[in-house]
Amino acid sequence: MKRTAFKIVLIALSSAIVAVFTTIVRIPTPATGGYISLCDVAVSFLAYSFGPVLGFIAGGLGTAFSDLIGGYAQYAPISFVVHGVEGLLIGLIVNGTKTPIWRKIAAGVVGTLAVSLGYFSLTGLFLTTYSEALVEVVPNLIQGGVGAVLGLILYLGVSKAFKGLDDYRISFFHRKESETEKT
Amino acid sequence: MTSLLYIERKSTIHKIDPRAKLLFAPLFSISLFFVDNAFILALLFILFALFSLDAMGLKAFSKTMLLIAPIVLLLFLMSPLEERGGVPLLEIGSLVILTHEAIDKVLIVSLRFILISLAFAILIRSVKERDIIKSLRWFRLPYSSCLCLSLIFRFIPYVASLYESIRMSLSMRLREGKRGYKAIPFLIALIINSFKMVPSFSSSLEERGFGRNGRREAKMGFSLLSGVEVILSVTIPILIVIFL
Repeated sequence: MKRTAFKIVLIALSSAIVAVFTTIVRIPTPATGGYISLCDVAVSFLAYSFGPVLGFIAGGLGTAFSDLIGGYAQYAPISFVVHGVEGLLIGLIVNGTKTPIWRKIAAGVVGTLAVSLGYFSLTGLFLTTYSEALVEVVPNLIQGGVGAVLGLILYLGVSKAFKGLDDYRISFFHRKESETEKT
Repeated sequence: MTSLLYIERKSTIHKIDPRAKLLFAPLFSISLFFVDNAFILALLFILFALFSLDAMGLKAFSKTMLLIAPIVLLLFLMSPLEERGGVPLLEIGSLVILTHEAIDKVLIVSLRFILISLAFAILIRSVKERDIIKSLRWFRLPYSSCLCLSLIFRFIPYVASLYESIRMSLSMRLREGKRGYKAIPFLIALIINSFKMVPSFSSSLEERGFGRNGRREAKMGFSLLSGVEVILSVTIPILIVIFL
């Protein structure tokens, strides 16, 4: 049975978690006029837990929603693409539950670079200028790096404390993992 | 959280069809990239400032402008360094600091940035969340996608309230006089508590018929006459591109 309702609720809730992580915890950066948030923590956690599809959708939608709520609507399309790609890349590199730790760290590094480069290129191209966008590269690298590390710690913590996470993963992909394990 | 977006007013902007506004904001933003005249952009800014004051009021308008002010200030400080060619206005020895072209460029980029911000601010301050969803349905966005967006609007306040209650309960466990709590256990608790509602919520959706053959349709509630506004919202940005 295709659990469409389950998927939609999981995507919507994950997006809401990303939006709340982005909106509530905000450290303003007066140098750039932007802010440092925990959005990368939520995006990388979701990509580690549920893979590239949910990482892309929830990462993109959640950050775009928080930009709309927070008064940075002009950044919403850029955030959608950048954080969506961040979730997609992390999910694609990790892709599975029994991934070695070095691969998870590499995924975090790639995600961080994607955020920093993505914001630099898209903001410079569409909204401001490249010299202004360059100022935000270092804060974005710090935010992305800290986010990827905390996201991985959260993933390990939640997997340990909440056994239902594996069931959610199976339901989301409607894989017959129990059958494949038997064979 | 999301209820703070919409501002109840009886402005001209509020009376315009939500679909027209939803279509206008992105199209207008795209059309701005084809305008390379600072004077015309300044005129558009005055026009949009007046529309914003009418739609949002002075308080929300100032808040929007204050949010983007540091970015605009940084643009004025950084951008002239990029553009060195043209008529020099300020020189130190052989080094050109400021040119006429640089001022022109920074004005265009800044005004474009402010106008995009105002266009989207007017949109989200003058359209209710349910009207956004209804408009998206009218634009033939799939029902499941609209349902997902609608659920996000509902889940954000839920997760935010969960955040507050977990934060308060952790604060109360601290010894008197001590401040702060461990961030990781707090975030783990927040995520687990949020995820626990997924099965019950999806079951209730399935019980209501979602995911089966029957599709639920929301009543549109838009008048046929307002279709003219939708057409106007497309033609105005195109006219801006052609004539400016």
